[in-house]
Amino acid sequence: MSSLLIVTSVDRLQPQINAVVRALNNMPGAFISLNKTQRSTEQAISSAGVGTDKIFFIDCVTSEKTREDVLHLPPDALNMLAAAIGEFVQDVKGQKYILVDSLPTLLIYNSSAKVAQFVKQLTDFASRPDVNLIAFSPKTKGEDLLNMVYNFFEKVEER
Amino acid sequence: MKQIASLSIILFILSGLASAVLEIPAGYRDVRPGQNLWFSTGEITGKMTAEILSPDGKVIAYREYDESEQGGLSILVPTTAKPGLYMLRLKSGAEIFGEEFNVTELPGFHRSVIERSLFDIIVDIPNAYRNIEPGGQLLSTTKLLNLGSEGRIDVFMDYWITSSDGAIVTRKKETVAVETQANFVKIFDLPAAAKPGAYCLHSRITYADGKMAAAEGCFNIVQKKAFSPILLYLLGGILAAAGLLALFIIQRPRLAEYALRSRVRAIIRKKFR
Repeated sequence: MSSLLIVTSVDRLQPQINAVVRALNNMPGAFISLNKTQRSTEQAISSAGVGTDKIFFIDCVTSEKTREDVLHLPPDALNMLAAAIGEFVQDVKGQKYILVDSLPTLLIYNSSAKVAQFVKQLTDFASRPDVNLIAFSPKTKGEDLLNMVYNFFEKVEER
Repeated sequence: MKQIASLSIILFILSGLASAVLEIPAGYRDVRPGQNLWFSTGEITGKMTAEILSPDGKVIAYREYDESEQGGLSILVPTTAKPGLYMLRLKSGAEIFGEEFNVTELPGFHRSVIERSLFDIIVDIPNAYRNIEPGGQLLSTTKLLNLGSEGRIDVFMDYWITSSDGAIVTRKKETVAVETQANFVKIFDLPAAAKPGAYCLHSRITYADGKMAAAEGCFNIVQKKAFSPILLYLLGGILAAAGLLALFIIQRPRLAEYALRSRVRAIIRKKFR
């Protein structure tokens, strides 16, 4: 059980994501992709030599369905997003992780209060012993939101 | 005269509502010997008798009436009657009513106006009241036109409604004052037990010394509209559809969430097991 917020610069965001996914490579994970399409995210991870077989992608950038095993949800449907993650947490046995690639992007489509509520739901999932939450935030974005949600995370790291 | 006065008091005590039941309109209170005295009563049910009592209390005229005689009623003042204050006495069952009138040699102003009057009567039933359910109300308008004289005249009105077989369903009587013309709106409560069919409203005016004019208007009593079963089913169907639609709208987010969870489960089954 853990929840970690990683604040990093925009240019270091993808390497940091790759590094985290590599570290959790043996664990099933739900990847909430808010910054890139599932396709380009998967390409970026794969090109770093990390496998994506155990990643359940939730693509919030495009609604175009390309694969059966990818879920496409609009970034303003936070309730649905939470429900999908909840189902993942409940259905997948053993240790697992939830990864959000750019938390502040949600602010473009939702009010800060709703985003904060959503983050609280994610950290609640992470209170289970078998769930790890890792959320990324580019340094330049969403400082107000970060101030609101800092306290929900067990650890906040600046990398 | 004293006898008449005491008789009046006794009759008043006996009758109680005498003035409401027996009426000699003002224009008819002066009568010459040999003329008819005209008066009105409530509806006659059964036998009724009228007597004229002379100033000294003697019965000088007598007449019987039955249910067939309604509206304005008359009794002949004998030619031998001397001028003076007379009493008209009515007996209907155990009830007795009395009203005073004058026998006079000179025709009064009212009397001459009445004698020259000539009335026409028009009855109209508005379209909205041509088809009425049992227990409903009939509204009619009655127009009276006096073509013969100018001046205020009291006339006797009699209204009755008959069914197609001639049976009288309801009846109303009244005395009204008319100058050259008058319009009345009358409302009749129809019996709840009235059978559907054609009915007619008859109006008759009696005035002067027995002159009459009559008119009628017809209408239908129709069966109360039953609530159509088809309409009931249709209404039920609409309500059920509206209920389902409301339920769907309320439950839509849950249905969408349920579909999403199923989809996630399917992906997980495929990917992780």
